[in-house]
Amino acid sequence: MNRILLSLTALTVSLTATAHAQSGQITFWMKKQLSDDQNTMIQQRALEFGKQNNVKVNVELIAYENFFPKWSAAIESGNVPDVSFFGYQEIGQFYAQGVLRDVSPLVKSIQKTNGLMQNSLQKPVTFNGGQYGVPFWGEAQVLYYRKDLLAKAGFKVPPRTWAEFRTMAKKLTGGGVYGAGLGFGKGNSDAEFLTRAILWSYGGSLNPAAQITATPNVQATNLLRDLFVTDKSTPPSALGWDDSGNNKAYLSGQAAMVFNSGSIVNVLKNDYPDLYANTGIAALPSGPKGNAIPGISNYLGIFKASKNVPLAEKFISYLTEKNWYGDWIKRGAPINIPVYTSLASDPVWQTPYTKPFIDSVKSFKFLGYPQVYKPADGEIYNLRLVNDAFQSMMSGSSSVADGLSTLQKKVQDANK
Amino acid sequence: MTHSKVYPDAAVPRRAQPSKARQDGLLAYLLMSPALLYLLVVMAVPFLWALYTSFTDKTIGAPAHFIGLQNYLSLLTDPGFWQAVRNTLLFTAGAVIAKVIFGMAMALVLNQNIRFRNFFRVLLFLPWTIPSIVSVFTWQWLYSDVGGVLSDLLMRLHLIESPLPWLASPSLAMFSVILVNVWRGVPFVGIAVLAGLQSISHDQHEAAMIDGAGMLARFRHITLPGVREVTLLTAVITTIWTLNDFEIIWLLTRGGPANATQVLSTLSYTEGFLNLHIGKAIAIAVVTLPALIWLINYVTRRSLSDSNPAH
Repeated sequence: MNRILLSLTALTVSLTATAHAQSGQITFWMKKQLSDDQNTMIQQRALEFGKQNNVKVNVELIAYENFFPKWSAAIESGNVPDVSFFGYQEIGQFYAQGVLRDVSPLVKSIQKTNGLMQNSLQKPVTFNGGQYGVPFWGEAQVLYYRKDLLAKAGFKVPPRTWAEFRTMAKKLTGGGVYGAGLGFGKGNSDAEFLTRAILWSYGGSLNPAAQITATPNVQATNLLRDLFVTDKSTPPSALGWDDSGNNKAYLSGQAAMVFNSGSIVNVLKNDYPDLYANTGIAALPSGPKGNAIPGISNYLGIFKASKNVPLAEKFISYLTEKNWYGDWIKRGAPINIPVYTSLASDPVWQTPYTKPFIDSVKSFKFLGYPQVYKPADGEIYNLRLVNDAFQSMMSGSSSVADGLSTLQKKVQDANK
Repeated sequence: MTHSKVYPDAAVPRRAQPSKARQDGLLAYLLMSPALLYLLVVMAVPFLWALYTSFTDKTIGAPAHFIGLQNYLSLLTDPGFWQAVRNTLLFTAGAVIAKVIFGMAMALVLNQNIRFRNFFRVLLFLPWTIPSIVSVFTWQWLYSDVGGVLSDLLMRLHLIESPLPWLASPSLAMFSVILVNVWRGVPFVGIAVLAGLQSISHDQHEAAMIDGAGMLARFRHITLPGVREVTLLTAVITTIWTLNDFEIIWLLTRGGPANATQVLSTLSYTEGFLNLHIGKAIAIAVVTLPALIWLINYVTRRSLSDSNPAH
């Protein structure tokens, strides 16, 4: 059934794209942003580019979860968008399939014109000396905490270590409030990143796979299990939360501390002024081996099968022109973190609500850490193998030893 | 009075018969050709292509290589696949049984001469008309432990002390997704059974009442036999739809927690679109085909054989 649907979609995409190639049009698939201003700006920018170059630019703003079926159909039909958004994990997967163009010369040219881009954002899309995506924006997870509730519980500063986080979460839990708003829904991408961050900060990792059951991972997992099972510091539905679960829990007052990207800040500022005033933001707590911040980076890329490569490159250069880009990125701050190092000093990033985000970029760690990110790491992330294992352990369906052992086997299979 | 133009077959001149039969045959093929062409292009070719792909190592963007039964063999040794098979059977059986029972009850109530009957009919059929995405998000809110109605109601009734993890507990999640599927599917069964009920003559019930038959006896000996066929057919059609259900589970749990609601359709999607392994994803879908073909064959035989005089 899925196959039939895929074929029909591919056919439709094929017919549409063929028409585009013949009539001087390019297609741009862009991830839909939370900020309407940013979406409008992208469309206007495309319109301007079209006018200047006498071409029509079709912009499709697509929700992230709809990208995979569209990419798949486009790749299979050979009729791909000329420019597309990608997360770094997808760049890895598609690089492995050999369908992406090396855009190193384009990145060089953009940097020559606009200044340097964050080096940390270029690493995860660089394979065998080639770069397969132009950095467009980053995202970072930070700790949001209720200053009023922490003060009431006798805490003057947010937790600096994961052990402190557990202690504080336990004390903050009660009266319908839960100390730790950690979600582990199967599709939850925040959880996939955050779990790795905790494992990494304990000196653990998923690489090499053979060491998943080793002591550092066990210690980190025990901490999480204690939060869920022993202390019951997390809301009862947290194991089923999708990415919006922690936002809802924090905004509703159910959770005193959550980890999230910048999406909560803007909502707080606009719709919850009292809660905004009572909210503090800090970097993720540290483990025995320090602090690890999972990098979330987003790119513009070009498929090898693109029919308008020069125009696509020109369009990407146009979108990354620093003045316009700086304005666009500011409208999405602090969700969208700029890729140009010089934009990091903009006043918008110097407030207590934004600085922790921009400071995170330099120490970003990516899937596959401590080794270099490779396509199989993207596959492990996309399949949510970590969430599966932790759902099982946090719900009490399996012990920590069994859960990590199952995860180890699955990760080893994915690496084959 | 002229009879010259109306020949019984036997009276047609011998030499003209094959030519006319051939012409009729050609005409029949000509008239059928659009439908045949449609079936070939839209159904047969993609199906055969998909079947072939399930015997390859096809991934998105890479050429396919024939690998025989390898995809199927790897599924047989994959515990995740077997868990999805068990979940699919549980989800389908649970949902279909509940839909038939509640659909039947709904039809029986709506067949009575109650006040505002039409209003209640519209009201009870409403879930069927609401788009899946809307109803799933509504249920997500009902299940939520922040402002969710279900937990709040149970707490007010002092049946529970704290909100239930409807979608977060492996033991509750399957029940929760079945409940949504049942809520959406009951109206279809209800409509079909109601139509069947309305074809049962009132005279039969009156005669039975005169003979002293009670409500249960009338239900057992008149109502049930009267709607048996339509209920069976509806149950089979619902089974086919439920086996293929993807949206409700994907949007509510994505197959979690801990794969407790992972069914074959969500596993196939994950394998094909997130893992890019199209060959394996189709193999997962193909596994359900024998059951589906048997069910579809049953429905078509049952619904077409008696109504088509040509057979």
